[in-house]
Amino acid sequence: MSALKDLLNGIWKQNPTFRIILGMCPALAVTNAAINGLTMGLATLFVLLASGLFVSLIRNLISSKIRIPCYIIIIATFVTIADYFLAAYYPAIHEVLGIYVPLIVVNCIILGRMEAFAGKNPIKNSLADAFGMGLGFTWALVLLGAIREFLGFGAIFGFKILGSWYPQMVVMRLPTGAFITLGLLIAMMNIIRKQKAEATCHAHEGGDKPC
Amino acid sequence: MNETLKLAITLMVISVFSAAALAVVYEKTYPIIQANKVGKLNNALKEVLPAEHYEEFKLDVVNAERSFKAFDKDDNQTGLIVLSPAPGFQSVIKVLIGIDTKTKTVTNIKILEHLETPGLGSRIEEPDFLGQFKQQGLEKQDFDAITGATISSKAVIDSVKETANEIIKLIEEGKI
Repeated sequence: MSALKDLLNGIWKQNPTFRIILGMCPALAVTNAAINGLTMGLATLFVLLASGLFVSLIRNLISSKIRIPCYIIIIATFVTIADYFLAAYYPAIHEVLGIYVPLIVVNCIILGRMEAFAGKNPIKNSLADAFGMGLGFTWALVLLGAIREFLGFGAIFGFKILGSWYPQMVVMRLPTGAFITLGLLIAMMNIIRKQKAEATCHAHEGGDKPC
Repeated sequence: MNETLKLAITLMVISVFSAAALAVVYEKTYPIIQANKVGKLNNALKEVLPAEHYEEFKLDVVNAERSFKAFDKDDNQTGLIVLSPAPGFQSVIKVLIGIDTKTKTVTNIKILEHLETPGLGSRIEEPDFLGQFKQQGLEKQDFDAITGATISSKAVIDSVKETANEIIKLIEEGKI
């Protein structure tokens, strides 16, 4: 049951992009198209899962003094594997993501989750947490990418939706567009959260007193 | 001392495992990555100047990073292809330029690599822009730049003009 809670945690309640606001560099840089966001998200998901597994496995064997370098070696290994894999089997996407694949190493979500979760919890929970965080990051990137691609190119996942009459918003293809979209999305989610929290308050206390 | 040693051994063990894993993956993917690169270059060469086979050679007189001779079925040289780096807006734009030795014209060009601004500078890859270089001799001087991508498109135009000029001169002098 608690593993399920850990899984859902990253998807919504502590969504890395919209809630903890971590890993902003790839979130802003590669989300000019939905497919780029998806690939980046999946690569990060893979690194999170694999590193989470290993960090959780060896968490009792390594001294806390050198835990950070150990985590970094593990993370870097899997990032390099992901990089080679993409370069070999998906060269077109690898070219688009470019420098951002090796940079997954320094994505704060990964080191953050290793330090805050996988280094302290059993394998089952660590995998659930990594999976949830990875999925949370992925859907956030896909949503960002889809909105920017739609407004910037009139397409989603490469499929033209709006015809040539659509004056494509170039700003949405640039990092500026990512900042604008991300800001609006976070604001929107905060409103939803607030309303939800108020609704549960009312339900619990039966009155209209804010809690 | 004992503890320091323990820490060092821990790190060493992890590093050894990491290196072993990477060696295996590298071994598996390296040939594929290499083949991808070669395939990409070959396709680009074919696009720029169709020929039976290509042969890389050294050409150090011009602004050429790499240069290829193109041959037809009977092993006659039909043209040259030069990979010329152009200073763009925020990256080096690598332009592949095909030149027909007989007609002394630019057959076609292709952008092999660039990191220009997406949506603006990256429009140098669009056929509308690249198409103006197709089958052009040196007499054509005016090429249209792209609105919003002046620096990137000018870099490509200048690079093509300059390189084609130099190479065609060399061809006329009989040096290549």
